[in-house]
Amino acid sequence: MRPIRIVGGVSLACLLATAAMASSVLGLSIEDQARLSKLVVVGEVLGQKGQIHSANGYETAVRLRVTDVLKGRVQVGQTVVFHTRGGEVDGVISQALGEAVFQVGQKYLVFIESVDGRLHNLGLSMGVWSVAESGGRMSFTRALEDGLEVVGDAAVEHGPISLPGMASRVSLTERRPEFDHPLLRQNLEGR
Amino acid sequence: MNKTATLRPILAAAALLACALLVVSDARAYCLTGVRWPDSNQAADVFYNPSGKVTSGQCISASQMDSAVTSGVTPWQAIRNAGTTSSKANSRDGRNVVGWAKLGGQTLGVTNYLSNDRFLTVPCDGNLFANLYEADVRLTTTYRWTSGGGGCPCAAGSAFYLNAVSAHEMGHVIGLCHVNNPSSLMYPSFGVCENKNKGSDESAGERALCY
Repeated sequence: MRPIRIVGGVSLACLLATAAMASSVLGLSIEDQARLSKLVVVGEVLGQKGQIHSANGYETAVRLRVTDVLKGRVQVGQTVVFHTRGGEVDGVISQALGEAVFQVGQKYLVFIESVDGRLHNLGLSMGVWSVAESGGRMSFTRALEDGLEVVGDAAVEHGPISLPGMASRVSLTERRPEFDHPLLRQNLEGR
Repeated sequence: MNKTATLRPILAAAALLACALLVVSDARAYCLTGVRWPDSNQAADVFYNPSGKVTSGQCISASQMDSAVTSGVTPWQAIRNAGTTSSKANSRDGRNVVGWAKLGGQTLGVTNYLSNDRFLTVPCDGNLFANLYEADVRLTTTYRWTSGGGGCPCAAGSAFYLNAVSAHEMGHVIGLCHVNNPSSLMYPSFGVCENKNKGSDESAGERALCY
């Protein structure tokens, strides 16, 4: 099974140019993304497989071997399985517009939330960062895919952000759990 | 010769034409994704599955929520409101479905294109588009919604305009992508409590798609 990248030959060429389609996500600070996440980890993608979930429909299960833990109860070396919002099963493709695309063997920083006990990358591709390593230093750049509509006023950072910088900001949220974004406070703390 | 090899020259030409159209269309304040529905004479049915919606804490009633979702369908000539269904969104069942889902803490809506043939093209005004088979939309149950009937902010707090988000997603369902005009429904960002409707930019996009 392969991750989903395209709908058709024509749209592929256009996507590679400038076109964007959309799903809608809330623009959030890194801190609020961390607050919404059960796990924030760096890891290498070991594999991915399309599947059909009874409630969520087509999805892709991504296996990530953890190399760094910024948040959550998981150990370095463990494998975490989370799910994207589209997938391919038996030749049928469901492409979730704006969803993250993973490459096996590549490392990513992933903000992972739990929805009814199942793990998903947070906010489609808004929750996924590519990893650059140079001179023993690691930095992250948001791996945004075409097709996201950002709703709300919060400025969305794209990086690069160093590993220590990201770890510091994520750990801060454990001491300060209240959301920055008023909509999160209104919608998630009061319901 | 296999199917892919046969269609490769056609697809290459189609890609060039579609991208050229896209560049031109930017100046016209619409943008085409490169896919379209195959039948110009018959609108594609879009069904609504109301199950799973959260009605407590909203700015609008349950029936107003239903109306707001379906009101996102009706402005578009290429699609039509086909009533309610029990079919699930993001299932390959031949039905275009807009429904509700638990999408987590940051995602308001997801549009999925479902296809099992990437190589069938659809002609339109001398251009070729990839054939669209099915498109499903899932809206979040996590956040508060409003519509023209509920105002914003309402007594419960700030909210998102459900009719606007639905109409925007339906724009993608017919084959439109984002534009640079902030007042356009298909602009890639809008504020909380900001309501928008389909306008002349989107109508021009529909015409460019031969709907």
